[in-house]
Amino acid sequence: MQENIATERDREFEETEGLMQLVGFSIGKELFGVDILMVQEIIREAPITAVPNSPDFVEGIINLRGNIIPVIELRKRLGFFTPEVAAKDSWILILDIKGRITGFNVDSVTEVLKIQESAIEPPPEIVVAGLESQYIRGVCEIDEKLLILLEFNRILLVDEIKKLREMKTS
Amino acid sequence: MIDLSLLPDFIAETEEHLEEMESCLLQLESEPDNLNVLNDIFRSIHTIKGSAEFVGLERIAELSHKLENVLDRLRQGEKTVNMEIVDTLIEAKDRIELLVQDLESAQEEKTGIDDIIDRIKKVTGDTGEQDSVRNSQESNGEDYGETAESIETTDALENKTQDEINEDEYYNEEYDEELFEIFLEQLKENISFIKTQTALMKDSDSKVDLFDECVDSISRLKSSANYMGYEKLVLVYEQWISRIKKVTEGLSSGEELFTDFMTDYIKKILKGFPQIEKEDVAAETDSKDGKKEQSRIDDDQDLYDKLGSAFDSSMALNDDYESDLTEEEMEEALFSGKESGLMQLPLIESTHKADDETDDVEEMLFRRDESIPKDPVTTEITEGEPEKSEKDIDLNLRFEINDEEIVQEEIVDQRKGERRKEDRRTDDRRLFDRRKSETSTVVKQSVRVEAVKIDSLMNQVGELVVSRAFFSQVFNEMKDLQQYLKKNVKLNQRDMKPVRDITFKLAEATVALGRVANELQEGVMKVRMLPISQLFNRYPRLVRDLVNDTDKQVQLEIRGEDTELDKMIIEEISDPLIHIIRNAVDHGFETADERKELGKPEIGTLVLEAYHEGNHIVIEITDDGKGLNAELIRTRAVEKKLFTKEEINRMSEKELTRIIMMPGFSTAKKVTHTSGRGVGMDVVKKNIEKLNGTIEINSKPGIQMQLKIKIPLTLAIIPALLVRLGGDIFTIPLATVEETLRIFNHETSTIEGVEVIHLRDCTMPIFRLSELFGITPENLDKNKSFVVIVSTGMQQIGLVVDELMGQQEVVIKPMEDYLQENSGFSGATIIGDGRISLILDVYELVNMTAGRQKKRQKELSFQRIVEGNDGGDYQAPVTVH
Repeated sequence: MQENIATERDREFEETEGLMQLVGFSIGKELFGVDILMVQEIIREAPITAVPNSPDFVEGIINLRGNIIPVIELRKRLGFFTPEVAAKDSWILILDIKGRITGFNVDSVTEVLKIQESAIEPPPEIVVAGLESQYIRGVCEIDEKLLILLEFNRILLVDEIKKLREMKTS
Repeated sequence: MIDLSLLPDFIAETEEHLEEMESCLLQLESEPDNLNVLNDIFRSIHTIKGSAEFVGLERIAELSHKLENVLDRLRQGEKTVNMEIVDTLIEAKDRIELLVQDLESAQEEKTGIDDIIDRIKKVTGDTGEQDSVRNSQESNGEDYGETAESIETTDALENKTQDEINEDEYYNEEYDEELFEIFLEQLKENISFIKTQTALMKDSDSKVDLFDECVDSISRLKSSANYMGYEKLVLVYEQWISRIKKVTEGLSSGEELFTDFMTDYIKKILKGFPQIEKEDVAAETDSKDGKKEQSRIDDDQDLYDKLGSAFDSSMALNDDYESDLTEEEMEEALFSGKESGLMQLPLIESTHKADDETDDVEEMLFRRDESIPKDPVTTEITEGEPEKSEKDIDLNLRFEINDEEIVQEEIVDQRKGERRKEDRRTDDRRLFDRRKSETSTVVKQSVRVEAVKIDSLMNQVGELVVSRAFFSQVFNEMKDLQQYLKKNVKLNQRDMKPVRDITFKLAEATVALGRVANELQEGVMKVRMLPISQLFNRYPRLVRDLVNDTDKQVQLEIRGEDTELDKMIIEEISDPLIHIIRNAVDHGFETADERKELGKPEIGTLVLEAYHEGNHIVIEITDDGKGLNAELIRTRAVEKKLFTKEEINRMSEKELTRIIMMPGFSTAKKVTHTSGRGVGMDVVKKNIEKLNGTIEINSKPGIQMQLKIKIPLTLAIIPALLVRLGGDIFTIPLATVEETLRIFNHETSTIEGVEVIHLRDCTMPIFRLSELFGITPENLDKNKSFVVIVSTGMQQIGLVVDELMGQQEVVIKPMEDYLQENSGFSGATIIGDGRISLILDVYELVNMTAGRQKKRQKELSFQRIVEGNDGGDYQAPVTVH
């Protein structure tokens, strides 16, 4: 009996192995994905307080149940040229990036996507959607659309942010 | 082997003891004849030694043991306290501190101790021989050098017979209660182990193994007796071991086994420790099998013990028991009280009976019951239900007991049926008395709590403070609504009543919540508060060391050491204070001769004073040395190209003192060498500013120099001024706010590109925060603006804001470092309506504005150069970063 359970569990494990769950979201027309394990929560628009003298892409800070969390305008961080749609109901993805809880502004959030890890291809050399490949972890096709997996560890490279700010203030 | 699990506790405890020791040592230096101080030091080092041995730290144990020897001899009056000894003691104390630091960083003892031990020996003129001579003379079995001890003990083994050792004096009166308990615990465990082994021996084939195990456990006991300093006991153990060895040798050569000597030893040892037996019995009866050998003594001991406890209680009944008597004194009291005791005779009879006849625990119990009826008091119970009473005894004996009192009480219950209640009451009272006296004798009872726990509690309280603000806001909204309903909707009185009621209730609820929140906040803050004496007590030593080997004489005066402040702040200001004191002693004070010539008292006075001022603590460091030399500062500042000559000449005295805290200035060796102050003052300033504190320098050349440090009591929750800029609300810590003004636009003027206002005959630079932050101002009145004057202690600037919103307690929450560093904000807070308000970092702002000012001046001077090119001899002011 126990053996049965064990093998069953194994089988289940084998099935889930290689399967990745993503939270899909869009900015403009592009579809992006982030590993569901990184997503702490997704909130509707919250009052954002701007922080003077901060880098452009830092939208400001929000009060998430008593915690102060920075919100980054992903569109600006990634250097998109897509015209800013006056997205009335934008969402904030709250991600846990190596212990730094950070919010990211996105236009809309899709359902949870399941993809095989093997289906993910390394980022192409050429620029995808006007996006530097260093911010991309990989791409994969889903429903005939291209889904871009973002490398958030790179996007929130703190040293870089600091340098950017220094450049701005000096 | 070091027991790592005990290490953190050991470190914390030892640090405390060392700290205490240091202040005592310094006191000893000034009062060499003060025996109390000597005793205090002795106690500290004794505790350190005990716990070090327990944890397994050889070096600390050895060193403290040596120190103990010295101190004991000082105590006995064999040596007199002199400078050399105190120096050595202090150095040894430092060494222990170093070792503790080793432990903290590397979990092992690294620093060597041989040199310091040599020094101790030299100072005290200690040699092994002397020790051993003393040893055999003294009956007081404590504190001898380890080497001497081993020589002595081997000698003693041969010379002394068992009988020569008076087993009643195993332990000294002076012991650490906590350690003693640990010691007893260990004794109990090992003894019962040995008993079991002995019992097994008869039927066992591997007798030698069993003996070996016993030897192991005796050796353990020996070392524990050693660290307690029970010399005699150590001897007994050693004898025991050698006896066992002989027997095992005999065994191998086919001699017949006899184990009587084992029980004799156990008996002998236990006799010295009446405290242990009652517990011992509990363990004993649990494992009844195969204990014929020792059950006899056990029961003997058992009864002996019961006898003791019975008297104990009857004593308690008779008079108010002095609870801080030592165990020995208690014993003494017991026996002297024998005559008045009722229980004495029958019990002793039973003891004899038991001693003579019993072979078996069960039988023993019956027998005791038989003997009991002779006691007139207990007749009723025991005669009536002998069986039950046996059970009772059994139960009681099996009971795992931690508290001596309970055991005593229970046994007394059995024996003294009728007096049961009375006894319990007295026992309770005694317990209570003991506790009471404990609290009065021990200076302060404290609980060690992890700082993290308090921090998280503090966070929760912070949330509560936010909710409180939220509640007041809701109340205000309710009031507005009431007004609206009355004026605009025009509800009549009757319809208005429920509205008014709700408003009233809301007001009440808000006030109640506010009160609780306030008290809770205060309470939690108090938990974190510690008296500043913790900090100040470190400095007498520092001053002493600094003055040592110089021709200066400085006396340190400490005032207000009971002033309390946040533990975290204490840690943070420790180093800056050391720096300031070092500066004062090194550079502030003149030599004794110089002072004499100047007509000052030869001994300089350095005053450390702490007091509360509102929500701040003020620490003043005042010396009556030579003060600052303004002229030198001027020249050096120009030399260092920190300022131009014109700038420096325009500076007031106050501004000059500020220069010494500039980074570039402080490193100038020449200046510090001649004029004094300045080494690392910028670091001091930075540290203080990090705490939202301010630092002020008042120098009276030739007379005195005073540093005034003002720090908020706590860092987590601060009172603040809320201001509005455009649509955002910003928070300025009230600590930095000097005053607020309302100015007309025409009152400002521009000097060298900097906007200034005239305030009480002074010009004060003002900065428009909206400009600095890139916010569009929304002034209510175009002609007027609000100015908040903030001060960094040395410098004041005005910040122009759109509107003043009021004062509030805010909880500081840190922001991500990439947002906070050099941003002009020290964090953020959540205000009543859930919005975020950024907290201004005034120091940072001053720096930022200063940077801007320089840039602008540069631009201006560049312009002037361009414009004034034809003028020819115009010289642009040199600006240097």
